[in-house]
Amino acid sequence: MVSKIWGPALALTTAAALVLTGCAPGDTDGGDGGDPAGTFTIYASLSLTGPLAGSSKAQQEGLEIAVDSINADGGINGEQVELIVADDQLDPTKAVTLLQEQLDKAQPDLVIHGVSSAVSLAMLPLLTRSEVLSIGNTYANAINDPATFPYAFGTNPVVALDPEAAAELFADEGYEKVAYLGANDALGQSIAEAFGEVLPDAGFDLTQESYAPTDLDMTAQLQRLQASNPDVLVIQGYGTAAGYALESRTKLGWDIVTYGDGGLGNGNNLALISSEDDWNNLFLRVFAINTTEREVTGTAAFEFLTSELTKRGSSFDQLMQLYAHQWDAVHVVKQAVEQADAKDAPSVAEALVNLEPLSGESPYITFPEFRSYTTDNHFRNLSTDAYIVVRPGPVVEGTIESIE
Amino acid sequence: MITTLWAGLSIGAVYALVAIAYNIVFVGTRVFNFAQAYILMIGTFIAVEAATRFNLPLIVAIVVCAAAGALIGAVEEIVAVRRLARTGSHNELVTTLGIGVILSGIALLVWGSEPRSVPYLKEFGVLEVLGGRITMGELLLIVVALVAGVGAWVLSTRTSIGLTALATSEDRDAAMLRGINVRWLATGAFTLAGALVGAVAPLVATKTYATYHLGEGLAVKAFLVLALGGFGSFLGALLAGSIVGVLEMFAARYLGSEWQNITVFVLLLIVLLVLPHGLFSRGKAQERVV
Repeated sequence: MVSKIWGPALALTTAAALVLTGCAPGDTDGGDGGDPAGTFTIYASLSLTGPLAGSSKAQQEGLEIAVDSINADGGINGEQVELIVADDQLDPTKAVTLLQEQLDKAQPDLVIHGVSSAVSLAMLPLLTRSEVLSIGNTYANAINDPATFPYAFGTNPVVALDPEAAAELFADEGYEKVAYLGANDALGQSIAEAFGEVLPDAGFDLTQESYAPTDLDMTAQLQRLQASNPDVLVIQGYGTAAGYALESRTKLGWDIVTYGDGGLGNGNNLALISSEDDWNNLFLRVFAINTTEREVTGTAAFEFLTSELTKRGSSFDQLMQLYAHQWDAVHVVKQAVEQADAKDAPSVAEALVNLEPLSGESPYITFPEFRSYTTDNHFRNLSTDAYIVVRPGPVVEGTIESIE
Repeated sequence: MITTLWAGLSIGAVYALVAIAYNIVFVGTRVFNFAQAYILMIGTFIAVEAATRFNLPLIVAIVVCAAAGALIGAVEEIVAVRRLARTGSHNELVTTLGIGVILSGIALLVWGSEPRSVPYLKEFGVLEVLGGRITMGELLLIVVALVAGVGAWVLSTRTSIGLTALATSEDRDAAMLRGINVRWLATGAFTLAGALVGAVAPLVATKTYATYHLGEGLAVKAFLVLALGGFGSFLGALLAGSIVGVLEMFAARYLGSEWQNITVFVLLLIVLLVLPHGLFSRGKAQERVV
């Protein structure tokens, strides 16, 4: 009889305590329960656990260094910058939940909307409804939709730039038949679609095959492509799958000239997922920032970033653009806020699509010759010469040390 | 075509080896150990350390990885399975899955998210065998899977310990009455299965790299192989692994990669409709034939 009373009573008491605890102000990583006047708040949704943990860590380091640099220089429009980092674990649902929690506490001035396109696309509707400015290096086409997401911007160029640059290169080389192997995940399909539109329009005969990111062997797919007798092969991929594709090519003994898509070279340390045996006739199409051909060496921004990374004991095992992208993201928003003399999303977005040239040395690292966004393109306006061709090699301190 | 066949057999060998390990545990304890593929995953990282940090030769790395796998298997049985034995609640499915997730998390914490490669067998390059191309690592995987499958079958049907395990899995109470130490048998099964996947981990790593999410994909595919071959059947696991691997490759080669998984699951459906207990079942209520 007693236990019939005490049991439910204890349960109810516990439940009530839990509910009341949930109603209390939370304790987030860097949050303070409010947005004090004079603070510019950046909320970064990064995947610090999961398959993109390495690249997220690099982006976090780039963000923190950028924030420290800006704060040392007086902040953004006189306001010191506060950085809040949340671990979305590469889970779009978790990312949205954490974002909502942050919005309920205090609306940030800027959000870094995730490191994967799936996470970004999950966050953007909420960000748009809440009129919060956001920026990130994710680049699926659906993100670049100013009509739907007017306050969302990207630090990467549009997906189509990659195949456009490839088409120019292949035309120069005299290729006519192109074989393409890519992942069938969201980003891979986006890139495959872009190649599938651009290359045939440019007069190339294109054959495409795909693989699942969980596949362990791409021999069959490469054999199908080999049967089409192409002049050149393009491999798209990230992580182990990219390595399996290269290994399968070696195993087949197929020494066709092979180019990586922009992601293969810009997103992977090929020494971790392949060996020199797999680099026969392989060329990477990458951004100069990831190579010894970068032009920003010696600039104040680049030297500050790299010296701070060294001081902080960074493992520095990711490609340079992962550290630099978020630096550039924060600095371009700084430029827009100070140009608009306001930090609300509509005003800053307006300034971003009408950015005025800066005087003095560029604060940007990835693409130092910064061009304004436009009303119909919220990704970086770059030309095809943004891609350079290098031989593969191990990544040392963010730089591809090309063989040969 | 022979190259495609070799590719299918080698990937099928990986599935088969995990399925054989599943069966070792199942035959000895009637427990399905979800963590098996994750123990293999840990083994691949240990192989990387053995090769790159300690410069151990392959044979020593195999012994070290086998020992590590055995230890993890034994600890898993004691911590996550033993207490749930005979409760009839099948909570071992949940706890072994939990162990798998913990192992995955440990790998991520210790080694990070970047894949690691092992330098073993690279010096052999690519071989020409029977008109097809295959790497030494893949060839050894096929041979090892064959030896493991046949060896496990012989062990379970021709040795007293194997027959004891079979008897225990059929009727645990009767086995206890006969004086069989079922507790040590269970621990032994987990230990042996862990040792098996640990031992093959260096070879698997030459094909898959060491990556913390390796266990997830292999766990599902190996379970499919197990269902196809028949729970408890070592020869069934060997055959089914080969079939699944070859079917995947040939489907991708001649139909397109989008047909890879479809054909395998269609095969599974057809087999289970005709032979509900798998290829090597007697067609009745018995869950296994070894």
